[in-house]
Amino acid sequence: MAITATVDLAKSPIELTVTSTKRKVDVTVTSAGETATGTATFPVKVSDSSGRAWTLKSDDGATAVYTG
Amino acid sequence: MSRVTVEAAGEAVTIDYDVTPARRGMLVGTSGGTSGSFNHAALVAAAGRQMGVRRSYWSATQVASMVSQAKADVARGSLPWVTLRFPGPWADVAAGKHDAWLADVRDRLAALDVEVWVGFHHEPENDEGATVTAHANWREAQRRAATVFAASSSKVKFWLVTTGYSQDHPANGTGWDTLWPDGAKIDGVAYDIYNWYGQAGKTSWSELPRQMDSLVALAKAKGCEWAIAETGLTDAAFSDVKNDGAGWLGRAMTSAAERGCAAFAYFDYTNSGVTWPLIPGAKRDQFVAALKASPEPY
Repeated sequence: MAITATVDLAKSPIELTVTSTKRKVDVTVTSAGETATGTATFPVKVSDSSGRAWTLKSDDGATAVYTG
Repeated sequence: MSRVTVEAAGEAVTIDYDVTPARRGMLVGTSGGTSGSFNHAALVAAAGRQMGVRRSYWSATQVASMVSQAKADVARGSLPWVTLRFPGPWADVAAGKHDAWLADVRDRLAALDVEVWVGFHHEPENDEGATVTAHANWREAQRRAATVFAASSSKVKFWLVTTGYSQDHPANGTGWDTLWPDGAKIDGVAYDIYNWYGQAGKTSWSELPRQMDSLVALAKAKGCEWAIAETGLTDAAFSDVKNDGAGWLGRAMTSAAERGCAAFAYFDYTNSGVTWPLIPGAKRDQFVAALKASPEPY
């Protein structure tokens, strides 16, 4: 499992931290005979049973922090 | 208990968490009216956030409206603290004649699936007569209502709210020895306590920390939470230099928070011309600063 999540109840507002080693992937795109390389990042989808609205605070592609 | 699920790059993980009042600290908000306290919109605008708690008052025929507003409050991030009147005399409620109505209120609030506070017929003192029998009927009505609410697991918390003064100075059954429904599941108890100084010639001065003493002791003895359901000071009290009226609200809120108060709801309302409302000025500024620094309920 490359994805983890923790909720920090001591913070105000509380924080949700999501880490994943698989979100960043190297991509190669070839078009019209030319090739470009780069890094793409999979988005994070958050759903909460209580209806809490989690707002993205920061995201470096490996760690995303939300406040709720 | 809440459950959050996160998904990314084809993987998902789910964790459970629970935000309880003990972790949350003292919620700050207002009480007053059905559609809101007098200055609700202005206070929210000044604070740049919603009320932590919002206490409102409803008749027995206003359940649909009550639930609608509670739902809207939850969506905005305010904890609804709803107070309803029973649909009939206390003795009838105690006899189970309104169980279906109580269960309907319970189920509608439970459907919100977040913590909501509910109370029935606050400040009962002498409302059905200044007799021990009348107040014993209120106790049994509360017992019946609490039992109906406890019959179905939900996040709805059941509160008792009285004036405090009548419990500290009991007469005709207004003391807790008559009013408390022993054995019922009561989640919290709250008082409506004020500083009336300057109103209609009143010269006595009330400090909330002192008035809270008996409430704190009661909650500890009963094993439940406690809160200030209504409070306020007159503009005359706020302006009184001799008693440091300008420091009254700060003293009250600091003391309440330090002693584990679950919520502090200022009565931003008046139905008798008393100058409780938080109109623009130093009194309002103090409340807004406290609201800004207070925790969110969810």
